[in-house]
Amino acid sequence: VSPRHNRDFLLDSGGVSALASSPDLLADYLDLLDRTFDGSLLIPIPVLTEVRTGNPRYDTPVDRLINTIRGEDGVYLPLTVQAASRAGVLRTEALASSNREISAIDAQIVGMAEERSGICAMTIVTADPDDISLLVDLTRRANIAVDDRDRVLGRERFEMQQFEPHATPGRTTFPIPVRVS
Amino acid sequence: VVVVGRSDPQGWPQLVVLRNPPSRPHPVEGNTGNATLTSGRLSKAARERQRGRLRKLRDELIAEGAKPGRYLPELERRAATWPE
Repeated sequence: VSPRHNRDFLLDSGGVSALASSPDLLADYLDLLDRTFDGSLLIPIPVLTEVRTGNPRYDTPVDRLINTIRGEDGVYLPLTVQAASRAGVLRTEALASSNREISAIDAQIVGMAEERSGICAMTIVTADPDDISLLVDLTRRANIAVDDRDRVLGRERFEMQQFEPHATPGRTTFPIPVRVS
Repeated sequence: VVVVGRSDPQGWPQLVVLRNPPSRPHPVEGNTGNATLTSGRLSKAARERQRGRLRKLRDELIAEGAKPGRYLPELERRAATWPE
């Protein structure tokens, strides 16, 4: 039996949505973590702003996942002053090298990952790999991986976007979680 | 979790302090403050507790009809490329 690798996982809003809405994917992800890694799943506090809607139809599966991760220890990953400041620098650099808008929360997540990458390797599970990867590259930290949930989900990409209330600007109705068999 | 504090006459909470029960090992290595993970990793005990919860969730998902294995090869392939 090979030793498990030290690695912590940060979930962005797309990562939370993907795992919460696809039981098959979540079961496989949990199996991978259990067998391969000595680490923890962590929810950055700013992500809660993007995944909570107040609509039980959406929030119930998300809460099930978040509450399991959080557990009785009640641990979330906070945004420190240092990570917030660093996120501002990373976002400014990313904006200078890209013609896309880089979200503040994406920059904060990468700032938090960079802060923690001195302790152990990190993986950011995201639905926005382009922006997150750009920000990670700017940190020059080699031990931060970016896991693109869409590449894992493949053909389910469209359906998963329906699950994310904040994914489509101008959406006026809450989405209905879609499970694709 | 113990909540310490009470409302003032105007109804505003004066002080709310969340503490870990003294019987539970603190979840954050090297940190004796509250349960917020400001530095360090989760302690080994806290990681094991989370691992147990996640195993239980996986068992529940399978009992509810989830079909494991479909994504595992791709996940393993990707995980093998993650830098240490």
